[in-house]
Amino acid sequence: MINKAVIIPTGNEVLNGVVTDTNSPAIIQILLENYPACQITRLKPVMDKENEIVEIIDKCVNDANDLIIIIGGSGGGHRHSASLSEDYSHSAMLKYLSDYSAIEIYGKNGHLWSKIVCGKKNSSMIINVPGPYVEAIAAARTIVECFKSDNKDKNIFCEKAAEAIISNYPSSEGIKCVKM
Amino acid sequence: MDTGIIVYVDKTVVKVRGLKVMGLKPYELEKKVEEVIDKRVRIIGVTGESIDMDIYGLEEESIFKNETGIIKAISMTEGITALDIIKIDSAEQIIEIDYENMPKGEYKGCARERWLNIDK
Repeated sequence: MINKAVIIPTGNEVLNGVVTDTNSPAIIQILLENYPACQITRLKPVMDKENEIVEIIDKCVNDANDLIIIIGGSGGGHRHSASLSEDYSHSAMLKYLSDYSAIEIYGKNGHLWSKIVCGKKNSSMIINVPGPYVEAIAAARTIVECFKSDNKDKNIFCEKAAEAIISNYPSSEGIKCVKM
Repeated sequence: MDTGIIVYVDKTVVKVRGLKVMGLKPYELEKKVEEVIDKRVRIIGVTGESIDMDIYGLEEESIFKNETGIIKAISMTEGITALDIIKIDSAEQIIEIDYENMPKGEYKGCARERWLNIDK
């Protein structure tokens, strides 16, 4: 059961309005479809700064949210292109969580496309989703499905979310995946 | 627990410059460009002046051949104001690397970054 959830969009481009946050409303809709009585908060977008993300996660945990979803900042692209956002959601989560599960999704070119991290602190399940809309929504839908099942193991959340993301990568020839 | 998965999909990373962006819904832009080139698109980076996107299953030459259509689709998307200088600045098809020879280290991130010796 999710009684209280919080969505944390990240990214300077979201904060300054260059990009309109369409992910949060879609995720809110998914939550409401499954938990009509859920109290959902969408926070002000957080800048791409690791410490700020850590602080806001801690506040959300102290507010006893059942589910904390962090949007965006899950890749590593900024290291190769100055115009890409800096990605700190995953590293902030690793910094904050002492017990977590993480799956890194790489392209064949060696770039980190997305790192999904999931962990529990007090009563809060904390997990991130990528910024691109299709993958974000697919992951969020899977996270909610996991919540509805009996097994709330963080490894399962992480694996299922990663599967949902990978299955949405566009490919006409099918997707070949190899575990590292 | 950290695990990694390599996804083998062909894509070309495209950068478009010469525009002003405010209030863009990236999903709408993806749809508009997809209608023109009949390939899947993901917007991966947006600033006030440029857009980075992954185009799947289309090589650089084909992207430049379709430049007029792509630019028109971008220009007609809400949240984008095209300037006279709008153009595809770069299109780079990704190159497969050999993960077996990837430098190992404490850093968990881009393999390419490890080769650049940022992880020391």
